[in-house]
Amino acid sequence: MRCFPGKEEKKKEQIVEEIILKKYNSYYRLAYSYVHREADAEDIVQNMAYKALRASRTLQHPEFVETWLYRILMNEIFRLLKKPENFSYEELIEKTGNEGEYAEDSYEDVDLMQVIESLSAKDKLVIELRFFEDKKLEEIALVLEENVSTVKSRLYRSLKKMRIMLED
Amino acid sequence: MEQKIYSLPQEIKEQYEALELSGEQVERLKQKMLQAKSENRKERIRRNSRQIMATAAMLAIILFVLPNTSKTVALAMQQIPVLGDFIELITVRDYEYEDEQHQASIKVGELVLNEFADVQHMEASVKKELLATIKNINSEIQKVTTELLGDFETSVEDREGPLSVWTESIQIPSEEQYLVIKQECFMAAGSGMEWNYYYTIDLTTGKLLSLEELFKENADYVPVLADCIEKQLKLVYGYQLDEFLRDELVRQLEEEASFYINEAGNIVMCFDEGDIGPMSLGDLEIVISNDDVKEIRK
Repeated sequence: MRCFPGKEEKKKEQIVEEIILKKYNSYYRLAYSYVHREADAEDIVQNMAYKALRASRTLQHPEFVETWLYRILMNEIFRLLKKPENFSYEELIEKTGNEGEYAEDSYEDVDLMQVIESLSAKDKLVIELRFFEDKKLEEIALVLEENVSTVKSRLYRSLKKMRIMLED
Repeated sequence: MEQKIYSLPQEIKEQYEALELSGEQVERLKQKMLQAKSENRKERIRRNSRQIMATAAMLAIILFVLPNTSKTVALAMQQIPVLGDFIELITVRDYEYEDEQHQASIKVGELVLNEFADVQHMEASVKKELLATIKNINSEIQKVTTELLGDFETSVEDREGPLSVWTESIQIPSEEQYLVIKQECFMAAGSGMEWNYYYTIDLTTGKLLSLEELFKENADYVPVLADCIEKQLKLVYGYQLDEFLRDELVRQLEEEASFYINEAGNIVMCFDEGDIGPMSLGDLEIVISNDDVKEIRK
């Protein structure tokens, strides 16, 4: 029996859609933690959702769809950060002398958040996925396309760095 | 050991989690997702049409015909989705056909009262209305699918060129008060087109919901909806309605526009391919933000 080819694709599209609708706030938070601008974070999530749905028929392993979505999200984040008109959060503070109109964070525990900000993009992702999104190391390794021991090293190194910075 | 090393203060996580997309941002996200789905659908139609042509050279035998018209069997076989407490959607006919040039998948749904539902608290008048409404919807679905199947069978008998038809009755999630059924139809003969029928039952009255009923008495809702739709077509699809299509949109809103209520309580206006724009936009489901109609909605 040969089914309509579109049916299988529709199923995959539905799986992707359901997860995006369930997790859009997580994606938004993660994007925001990198770009610090609501409009940019929203654009990233919209682009991620659009690209994921458009590419949903190519999804080979629906069981890894969450990881796949995080990877698309990270690509979108890094793509935006690489745009010449985008400067980093630190550069923004340096430029304006303060957090300026773009910084809309309301984190009260500024020290800890600043320490997380100071990590490299990948280390920061490990910390956020592990602690804020409760992801297992294995899942984070899939998102980063690294092996678990590398992710573990990143986690230990980042935590150590964070502890030292907070003690100073 | 791991817990001791791997921990951050709970407050910081709570602060992190406090950041959320606003209702407006969520609506924009959903529109973007609809755009992607609409583009996928167009692509599927194009590929499906091409595939029928390619299949013609390879296959020459009818593979299977599986009509099923017994409601008892259908009830026994179906995974029955429960709609509200009162109504179930069952598939009373599941017809599949395929030969060298033709494909069909026709799933005919029928609404029936759930025999296990507690309907004692339902007013007799509402139950009566509900039964009448269900009967009308079932009759319309039967008519639509029978016509589609008839066209298909004629095409097969006359050995006409490639044809692909597909139809299915599905439930769309809505607010508790409503029950929404969509009959999706698709036909491809060279190029393809998709069109849909929507039925929204108000479970508190048992009646089919009309667009007008959603608004306060004498509210001038048509231009408000037209503005919202025009704005979103421009924003999401980069498409500007011209004067003629704006008039056509207004006419449809006044006379025949399809709609349903989604889970968030938003009105979703539905248009078939080419109704209010080029065919390339596909069929459209445009979510009307509750904020945009809060002054006039009941």
